[in-house]
Amino acid sequence: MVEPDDADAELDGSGVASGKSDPGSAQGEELAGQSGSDVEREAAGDDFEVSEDVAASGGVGRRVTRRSVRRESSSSSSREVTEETVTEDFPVQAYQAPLAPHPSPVG
Amino acid sequence: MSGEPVWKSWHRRYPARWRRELAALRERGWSYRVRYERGAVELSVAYMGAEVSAPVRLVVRYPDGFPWFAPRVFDRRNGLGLVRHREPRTGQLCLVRDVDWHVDRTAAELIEAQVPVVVAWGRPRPEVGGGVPVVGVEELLPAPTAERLGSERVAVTVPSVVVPTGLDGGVLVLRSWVTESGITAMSVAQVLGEGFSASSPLSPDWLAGQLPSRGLGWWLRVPDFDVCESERQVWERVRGRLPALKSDGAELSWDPERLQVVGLLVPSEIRYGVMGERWVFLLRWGLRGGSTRSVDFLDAQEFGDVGPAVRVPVSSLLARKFVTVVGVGAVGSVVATDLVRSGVGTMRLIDPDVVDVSGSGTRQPAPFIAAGDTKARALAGLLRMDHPLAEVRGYSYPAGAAAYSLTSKGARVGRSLVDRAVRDADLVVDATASPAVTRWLAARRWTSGRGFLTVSGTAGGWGGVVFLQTPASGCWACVEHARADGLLPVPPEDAAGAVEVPGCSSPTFTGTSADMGTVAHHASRVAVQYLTAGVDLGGDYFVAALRDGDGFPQPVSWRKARVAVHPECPLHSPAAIARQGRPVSVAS
Repeated sequence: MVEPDDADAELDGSGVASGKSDPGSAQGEELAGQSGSDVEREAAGDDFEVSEDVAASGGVGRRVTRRSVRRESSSSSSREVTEETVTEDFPVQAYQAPLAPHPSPVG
Repeated sequence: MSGEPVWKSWHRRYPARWRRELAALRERGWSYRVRYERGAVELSVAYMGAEVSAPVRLVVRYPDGFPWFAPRVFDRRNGLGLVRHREPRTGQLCLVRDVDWHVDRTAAELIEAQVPVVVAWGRPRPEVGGGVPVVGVEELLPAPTAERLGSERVAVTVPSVVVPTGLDGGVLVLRSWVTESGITAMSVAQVLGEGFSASSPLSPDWLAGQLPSRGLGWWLRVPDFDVCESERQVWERVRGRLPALKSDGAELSWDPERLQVVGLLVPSEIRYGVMGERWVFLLRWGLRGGSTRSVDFLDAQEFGDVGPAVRVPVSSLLARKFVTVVGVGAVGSVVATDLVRSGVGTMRLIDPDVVDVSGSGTRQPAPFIAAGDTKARALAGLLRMDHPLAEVRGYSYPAGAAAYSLTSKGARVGRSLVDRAVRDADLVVDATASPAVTRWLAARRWTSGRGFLTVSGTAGGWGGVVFLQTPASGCWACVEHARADGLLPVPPEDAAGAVEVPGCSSPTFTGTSADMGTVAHHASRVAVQYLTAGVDLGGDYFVAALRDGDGFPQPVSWRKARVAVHPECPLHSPAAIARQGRPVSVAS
């Protein structure tokens, strides 16, 4: 009997990870191993994003807190505020060593 | 030749040996009677020795495989007065193990040599129970009460819990698989008593999925349990102690009037000379429409972390480890199974490939009924059935999910799961046989400084490679550089080993499960060593050859190497290269 795992997938479907660690987009812009305590803040209107380099569970990464504020109308004073904090890995440098004559792996 | 083989009992196949058996009894002056039954023979022997004051009637039963296997000797009325070395229900004496049996020995010689020994050490002695072992004379094994008492082919699984000594009984919440013809499985989900509650470590979801029937039963402490009593005698003795069961509000799958389950906590030797308790179950039930009710013993099996820790001492360390296996085909499925069996507590399996009954099952577990499901989910399901205490999940997403569009929610979910499984694991095992995925995984793990192990075979199952990447080693890119420099040994491969299956667009390879498993098991050993001791096996790069240069099968030979930081590898800082840079050493 095989049990479904999609229930787990649904639970994890918050899109916690971002595409920032896509090696194709990194191209050595930010090499792994960088770390620090720089805190960056970007703001646009009421929305803002704060990011901070941290030692993530799997290594060095960046903790990003995003807050978005949405008003029901321009004249309304009621607001809906959403905030999430995620940890993004630093992108990994994409690199491929020269190919050598070697049996192809199977498995 | 055709027809049924002619069956002859051992004493007709070996008539001279049979005569010798009887002569040996006469030589010792022991009278005997021979009983022939359905072609087999049984002896009733009047045993006389210095340790008994009057002849003791012993029954000798010869196995059909005699003299290859030892005869069994019974003292049914316990004329020897034993409390140990005698199974109380059948009276069988513990005289010899198979490993100590010699085919030339007669039953009379066995009795003459061993009965005085079991009498000397099997009669009541004050030191037994006081923890004084008798080293060198008897095996220091416990003599548990009611071992294998049940006749049904099912045992109730019970979590290892210590029930407070002040309690005499209570209620059990049971999970079971019940059919009209009987019970095929049963597990205790909760043990309840006054002010006491202990739950199974198995998750409620797992129990509900595997054992859908839910019911209530009782448990009782029975300090005067007599193993020689029949099931019905025990039932009559304890039934008056069973209060009416009150529903706990949850739905019950069976009528407590039709199926009654009682767990008995009975005194038993748990270690040599140390008394404790063990579970025995009584099952009383009636078939639909029938008035008769049968009462049966059911054996119990306790589960927890003690048994695994005895057999696999490193399992207690591995229980806290998290391993992700990427690619669960012929190699990865073996590694995943090895590691869960060794005790790894948390495992994620990643593979989007599907179970195809036309070929998958030849080299990996592929349940027929899982056709079309993904290999990761199918294997995770199998491992969860075998090892429900391990948290195993299968993700049906490609490990290289980064290469896929993230426009759909499903893709984002998959990417998130894969990311976390790759990032958080104590060890990531790559068995994808995909150079692109290997490269990506290795680079990700290298940046985090955590263990990464890649394993693959070669076509034909002729060889394989295992590489453990740690902060102390070079990285996978260093391996590729070293390969280009010709510094690493190369496994053999079958040039004709890449094949296509008719009707399938994916190429595959030849080779047996045994060949691929040989490579995979080595990877498992490297993984266990890394996870438990933080060291490698004298190298970090291993190359297997299962065939010689001419392609003839040979015992597997491994060559090992240490992969240093390669000066041209850009994934290392100049300082790391200066610190670690050294030539690759190769040792066979």
